[in-house]
Amino acid sequence: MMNEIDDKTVKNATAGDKNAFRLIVLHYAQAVNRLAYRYTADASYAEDIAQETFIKAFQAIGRYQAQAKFSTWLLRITTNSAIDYLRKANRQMAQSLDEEGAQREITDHSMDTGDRLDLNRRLSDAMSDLSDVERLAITMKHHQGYSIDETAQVLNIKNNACKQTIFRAVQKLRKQLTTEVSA
Amino acid sequence: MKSTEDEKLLMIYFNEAQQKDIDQCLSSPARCDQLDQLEADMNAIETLQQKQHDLPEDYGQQLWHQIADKLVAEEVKPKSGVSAWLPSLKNMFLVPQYSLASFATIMALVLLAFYTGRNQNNEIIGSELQELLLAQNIQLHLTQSEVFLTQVSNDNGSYNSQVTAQRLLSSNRIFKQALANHKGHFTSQLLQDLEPILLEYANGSAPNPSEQTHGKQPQANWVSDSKSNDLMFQIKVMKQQLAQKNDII
Repeated sequence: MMNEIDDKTVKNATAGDKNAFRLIVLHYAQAVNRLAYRYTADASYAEDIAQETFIKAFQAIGRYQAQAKFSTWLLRITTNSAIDYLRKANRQMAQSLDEEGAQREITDHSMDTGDRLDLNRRLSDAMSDLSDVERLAITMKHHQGYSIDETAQVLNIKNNACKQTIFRAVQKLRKQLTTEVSA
Repeated sequence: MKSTEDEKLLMIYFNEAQQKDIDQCLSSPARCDQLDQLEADMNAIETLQQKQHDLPEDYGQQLWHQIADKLVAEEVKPKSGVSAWLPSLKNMFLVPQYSLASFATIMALVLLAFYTGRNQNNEIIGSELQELLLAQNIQLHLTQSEVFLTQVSNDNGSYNSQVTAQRLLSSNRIFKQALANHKGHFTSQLLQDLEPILLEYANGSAPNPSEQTHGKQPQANWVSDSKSNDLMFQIKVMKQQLAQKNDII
């Protein structure tokens, strides 16, 4: 459960208090960057997305309504920023969102080197090896708690395609765990 | 195990399954075991992911320093109307590397208008004068393109290369069109070669400074690439030709 910043700071920020917004950045920077990293598996992308997220939040904070938790609002901006960023960074992503046929097989990292990589590293590599849409879908569903419908809508794919994408991503990640158990 | 069954199991785990699938699963001990295993695996994946990507404790402070200036720019950014385009118009003439060139272009256009106005009754604007003006304008265009390409190769990110490229691309196409019925084959070919490069920057498909900070190399490096060197050389030679002889070859 994320530790929420106090309401007064948010209220002051929505009224244009820049110092209050600074406190928001200090409070949520790590959470935003970590989520961006989950979406991209790339530290430099995550850094850029974190910056974009807070700039967009700054532009839109006057429209924030307190019905939703502030962290929920901010992490939604992070999600949208990550999708936009990946679309810009990789034009093929737009295609892969529509064509679920692009199913890359994940590398079995336990087999490809003499050194046995530790599980953490292999899982990290496995996340990197997921396609952008697989990584986005599994993170949105598993970590952010989006429904299948919402995930499909945000990623602009059909529900069934979304389910299959998540299923495929889970299979690939579990494969690394299974390899560890059997090794 | 069929993958459709596994997919149903995953949907049960995500609380997205239909009731009949849930009932069916719970009635089978083997499926319940599989569901337990799936839950354990998903928890393990989540735990491992939480450990990844360490950030410094003062990351928030660092991020704030990075975006503080941009937020100030956002605050003062004009919304719309005259205040939106006036600064960009002002900037067009005040950007140091283009101020002289912009001034020269305007002067050339004023002179052209003056000559046209003064001589239109006498109909004495001959092809020679037209060619002279065309040569001078192409020379100016090539100077601007040379400065632009040098600047993007050194790419300090201090100006908007896309906007400049779009402007140069428009000029390039106009001059190409003007040369269509002209004998200047070499000049025309040079503009032809220049166009795809300008197009790339105009579309924003060329790398920008932020991409370079991530270790990506520019697709065309106007300093080291031999093809680019050739083009830069051709631009310099053509500029000299136009400046010294005012002759479009």
